[in-house]
Amino acid sequence: MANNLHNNDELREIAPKLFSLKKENPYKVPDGYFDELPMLIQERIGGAEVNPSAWTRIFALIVKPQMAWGSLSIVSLMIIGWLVFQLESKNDLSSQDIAEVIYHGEVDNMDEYLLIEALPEESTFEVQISENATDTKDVMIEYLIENEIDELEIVDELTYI
Amino acid sequence: MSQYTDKELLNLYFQGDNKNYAFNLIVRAYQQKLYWHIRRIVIDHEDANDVVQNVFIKAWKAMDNFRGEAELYTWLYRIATNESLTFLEQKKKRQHLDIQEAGKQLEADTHGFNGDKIQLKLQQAIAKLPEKQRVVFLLKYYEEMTYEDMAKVLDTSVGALKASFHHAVKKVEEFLQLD
Repeated sequence: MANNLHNNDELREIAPKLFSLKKENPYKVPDGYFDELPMLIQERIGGAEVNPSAWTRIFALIVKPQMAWGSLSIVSLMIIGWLVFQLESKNDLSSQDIAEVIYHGEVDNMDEYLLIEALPEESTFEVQISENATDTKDVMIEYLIENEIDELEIVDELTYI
Repeated sequence: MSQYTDKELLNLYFQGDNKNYAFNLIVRAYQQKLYWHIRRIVIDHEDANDVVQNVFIKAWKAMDNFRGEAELYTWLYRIATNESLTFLEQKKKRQHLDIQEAGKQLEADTHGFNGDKIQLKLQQAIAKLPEKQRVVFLLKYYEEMTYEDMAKVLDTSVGALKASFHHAVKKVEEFLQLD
């Protein structure tokens, strides 16, 4: 192939020792790994059908948001209660504490607004401020949404502040 | 090797009755290529195993939005490369261990590394390259990817990739020439 010839000519000229090496794979992989990998992936995918029927989609559109809002409200109240308790019992809610809560799955749904409320004042984010953002919380929310940052990314950010 | 072309795989997925089955065929067609590409970036098998699974999960979730603007081949490699680099970044933060240190540890890893002394030296040379340059080198040297395809994978111009590969090759050669 022309591209490979070009590749080999270039190598031969500037890297004779590299060019002289046999191109081989020096790493080992456990026996049977590639037989098992597709099954591992299928398990993680869960066998769920990707293409739901029209009725399933309509159901999801109407009912699921209401259920989601209901769940979110309950969970949000729990988070607020926990955070208030933490704030009252300690002087500071450390970033590590927040990261622990999120990371160990105690929160299924996260409202970024609540998370921002709990952050220490000195936390900083690089944000692009839009014309409409009137306070720092709006700016932070905008940043999270625009950059599609999920809770695990926030955990990373908080853990290393 | 897959018995299906990328076009056939995509047709099976989008027009077939069973997306799971079709996606399984995609996994089987690409698992080894993607695994080895990832393994060469992250070095450790356990890490590569985590990343390759995450790559396919991500691909699965995004498949319905994949409308063939990109080729399946470059699309999957793009996900794999991004996931590998993200993984390295996160590992660096968590363990304060960068890939150059991992390259030095290759010598001690008799279970994961199967090469001779000169291959070890080559892998150490590659591990010393800056991240993106290392990816360019790996894609060009091992995968023999065209610059045009690499440009789609890395979202970089062909000219920049040629320059990057040229520099990478020189650096690797210098390291190999050392006693």
